[in-house]
Amino acid sequence: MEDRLPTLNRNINGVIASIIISSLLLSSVFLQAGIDTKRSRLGLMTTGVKSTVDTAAQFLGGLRSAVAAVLWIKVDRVHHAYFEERGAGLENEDELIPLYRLVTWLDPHIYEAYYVGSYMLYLFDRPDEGWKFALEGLHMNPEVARMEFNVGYLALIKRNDYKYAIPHLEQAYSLAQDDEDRFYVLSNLVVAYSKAGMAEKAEDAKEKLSKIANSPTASGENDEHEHEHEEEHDKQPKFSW
Amino acid sequence: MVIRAIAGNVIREAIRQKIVYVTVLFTLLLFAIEPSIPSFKVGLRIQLFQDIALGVAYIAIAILAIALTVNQVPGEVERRTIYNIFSKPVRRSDYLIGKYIGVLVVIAACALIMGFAVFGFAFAYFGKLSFGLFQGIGMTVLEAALISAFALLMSTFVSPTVNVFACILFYFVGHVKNGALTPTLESGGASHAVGLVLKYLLPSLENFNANEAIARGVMLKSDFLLEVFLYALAFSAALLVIASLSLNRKEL
Repeated sequence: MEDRLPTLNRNINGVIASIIISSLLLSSVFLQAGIDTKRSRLGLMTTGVKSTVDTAAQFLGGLRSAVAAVLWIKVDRVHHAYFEERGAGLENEDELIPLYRLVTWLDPHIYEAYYVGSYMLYLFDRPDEGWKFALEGLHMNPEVARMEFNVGYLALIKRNDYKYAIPHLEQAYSLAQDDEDRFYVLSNLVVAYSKAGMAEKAEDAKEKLSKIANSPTASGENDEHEHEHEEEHDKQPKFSW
Repeated sequence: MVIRAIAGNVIREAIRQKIVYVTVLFTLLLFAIEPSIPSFKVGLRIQLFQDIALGVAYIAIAILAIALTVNQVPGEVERRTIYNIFSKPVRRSDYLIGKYIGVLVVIAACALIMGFAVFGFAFAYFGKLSFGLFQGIGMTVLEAALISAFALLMSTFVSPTVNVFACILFYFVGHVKNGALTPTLESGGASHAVGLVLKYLLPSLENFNANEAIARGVMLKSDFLLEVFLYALAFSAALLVIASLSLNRKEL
């Protein structure tokens, strides 16, 4: 009997350890569910775009955003080099499109990549991809005025869907940080309201627009970051953030 | 008392190790030269700085956790000091807990230095007091705690070299598993069940990576931090229990 005691003790210890381990793992399951919800709210979950790039990017851990930022700096420089050398000509930028995609895979919060990339896709006759890209940008950055503006602008100008554009432009207006931002949103809202036959709202928007235009902080004079949404230059005002 | 003595010994040993100083100094140097990286837009410079600094600290602390832990048990076996310890009334579980706490104290101290450094640099370069950076560093320490627990478990039955590779694999799997399992989880049937088991059985190290949000200036809420802390605690404790069982069965 005494010979069996150590074995018995060891078995009991093993059972107790198994119970402890199971309880700890079970509690981690519940904790993981809560963590997933909160990470999703913080915009830290994966983008939903299934790709090996996305999975591989996770390996970078805390450095993935940094890699995205550095890559964006490079892409943005090349983009501006084209823009400055060729005036408004963007016809040779198609090779940059995969890089815009890569930047957003690495960090979906670099919303400039969505902004420029979606327009580029439209420019190079890939409207469906451009539209999806713009919607993804809005999904990943719902609080960013420029993403609301982007969807509203593309719906209005490229898709001629002014009914779809209006709520997004209105939301962009409410999220806009200053008069300069509001100026470009209102310019498009005036067009959208007019097309939708909402004359009263169009007049109201025009009034707000003229107030901003007459204010000392009126837009358009100090644009350091001229944006490239100007295919319809003369028809539509530029949006310059 | 025994745990404190063993932990104290681990801390004293760590202080003598050059890798601790090299890692911390190299990290501080990277923080210092970071602003020389060109920035693309005024207003995002602080975000970029914080993002890269937290990323560097994230990697540095993970390296420290692996370097300090892998040799804890095999080193003592090699020097035969472990026989001295176990000839006294010391439980093997206490021995492991002491080792674990000692490693964690060193990691936390190094992380605190890095935290104050990056906080100071952010203030010096951009005039901004970013208290959120400490949350990011804290999350990194929690991840390091989990990696250390895994390394300690492995150190009870493999050599330090194998342990290093195992820890790198653990780090890799811990970070990519959510993305890699997504297609499996979206499919039906048996593969979905397998995906679910893997999702919850393997610790998710991405839980501790909130650098992106912190760099954007988001302050993490206390309930989220508490959940992440409890998650690290639960998994670390589970790994330490398994490590204790493994050491108990080891013939010494």
